[in-house]
Amino acid sequence: MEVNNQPILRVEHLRKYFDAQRHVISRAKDQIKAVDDVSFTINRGSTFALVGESGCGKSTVARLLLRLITATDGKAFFNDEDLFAMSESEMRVMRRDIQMIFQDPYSSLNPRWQVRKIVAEPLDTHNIGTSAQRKEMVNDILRIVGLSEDSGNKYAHEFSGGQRQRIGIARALITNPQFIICDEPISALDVSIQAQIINLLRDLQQQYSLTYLFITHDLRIVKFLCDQTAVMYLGKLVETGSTREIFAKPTHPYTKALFSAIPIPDPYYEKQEEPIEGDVPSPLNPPSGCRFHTRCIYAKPICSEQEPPLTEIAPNHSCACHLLSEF
Amino acid sequence: MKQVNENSIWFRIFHTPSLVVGSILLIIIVSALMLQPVLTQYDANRNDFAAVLQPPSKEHWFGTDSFGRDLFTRVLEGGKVSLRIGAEVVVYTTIIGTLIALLGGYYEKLDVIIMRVMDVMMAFPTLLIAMVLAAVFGNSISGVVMALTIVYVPRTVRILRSAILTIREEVYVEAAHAIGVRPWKIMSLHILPGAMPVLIVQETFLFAYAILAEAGISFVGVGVQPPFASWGNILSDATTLMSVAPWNVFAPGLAIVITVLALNLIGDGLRELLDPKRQKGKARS
Repeated sequence: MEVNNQPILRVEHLRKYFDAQRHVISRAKDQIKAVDDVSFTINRGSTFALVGESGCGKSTVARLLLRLITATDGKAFFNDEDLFAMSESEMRVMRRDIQMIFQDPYSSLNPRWQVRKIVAEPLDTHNIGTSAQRKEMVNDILRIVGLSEDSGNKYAHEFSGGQRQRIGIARALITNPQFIICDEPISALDVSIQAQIINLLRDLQQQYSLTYLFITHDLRIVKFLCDQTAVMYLGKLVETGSTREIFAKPTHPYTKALFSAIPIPDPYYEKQEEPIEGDVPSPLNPPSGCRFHTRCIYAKPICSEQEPPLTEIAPNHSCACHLLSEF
Repeated sequence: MKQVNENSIWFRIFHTPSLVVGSILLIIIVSALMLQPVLTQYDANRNDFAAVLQPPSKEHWFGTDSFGRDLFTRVLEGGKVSLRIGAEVVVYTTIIGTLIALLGGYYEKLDVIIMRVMDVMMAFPTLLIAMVLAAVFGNSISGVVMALTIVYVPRTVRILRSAILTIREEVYVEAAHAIGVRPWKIMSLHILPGAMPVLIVQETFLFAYAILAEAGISFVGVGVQPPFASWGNILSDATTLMSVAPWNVFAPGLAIVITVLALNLIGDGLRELLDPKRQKGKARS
């Protein structure tokens, strides 16, 4: 895969705090720190994986970047332009280049619309081409994602999950965007279909030199598809780096635990357990210090007192842990 | 063998019995009202003291009232007024209710104010406030229409708003935002069409309620004024005659019952027909 080091998206200190009303009468408010000081850079033509458990804030990052929700703080530069500082109309122009593929291929397509209309919606919105050209483009894109032309005249409910996700991909692709956010695009699909969609996404990337932000909790796909990986835990990045580095030397205890949870199809394989105990703590009152210390088997007193900074441990590999020297 | 498409709209309509029965009833009622000049030779408002309080007979199918007027003619004449009031109330509440609900769905801050105003309006007993308003607006058809519209708008707004709020959270609406579709376009292209089935069903029931309410208002004498007939005031005149000439009660009463039943059947049928979850091949989860 051709990857240069030109950044397409630079996220700096992204924060999103949701207010949660704790008390009806006193109106005391708690804050849910869904995304807390997240920074990363995605290079043009690469695939960047954002990995983490459910509820760790991955999808919130995606929605923040598309301005579906407003960020509390932070900046996001897309081709050196700050997405969060733009007016609504400037942002609308930008949306041609930033598209999104949604997790649920069932609810993300309007059940009352024909597929042709769904796929053409970005063209209609951005006034691209004449109506004859639009029709031609829709037919082309349907063929590219592996659907027949006459499927354009059907409704979404007439398709299977995998085919619907192809429709979602067609809609994301039709404006010829530079950057696509894939929010768990395959987690709602059957395993056999997952492979097809992953291959389609990879082929499309090579063909149209797309950049992906790939949000997932499935590490096998990360290894297969992604160049860079960021591991997220309770709204914070705990480890970032090239996928190869992270898979070779997972450093943060949480990353290690994630890796040990990958099932290995070998009955004689002796698993080296990195057990992870308990549940994800509530983001309403996140643990002090390192947010992982409540479940970490290596936890030391310092872990609950100070927040570990993300420090570089090797070229293109950073980790946020106090005990780096001990690993 | 001929292929039957189970998803075709006609197939589904004919397999919704309540819709078919309700529609047939309503068609019969409306055509009877339209054909009134052909069906009877009497004048609805002409007194005939030679034929006072006659029971149903060949000449007078539903009998006559205390002024000797033919009740069949009066019921048909009154039906025109009642149905016209019902239809006008439906049209106005739909238009006004949709506009208010869209405003509320669009501007979240306005929504709070709108809904509190609607709550206050809904806190009054429907019929009572309608009577007061009808009296205020003058005892006329348009007065009744205005009164009932004001009374029924909050219900339409509330039901439509709840549908809008649900659809607003759908992922495909979020997808439209992500694409860059303008908010008012999202409202009109994605959200409102999704709320349409709810609105249609609600307005069908409202048609029935409006006819009932008109009857109630005219019954107490603040609605359509005699000698002009409406189902409510025919019924009102009949109350004193209940023991002497009970057909005076049955004629308009039956007309109201059948019409309201027909409209309710249609409403039920439409609800079944328009619910995407009950459509074949569309069912999921």
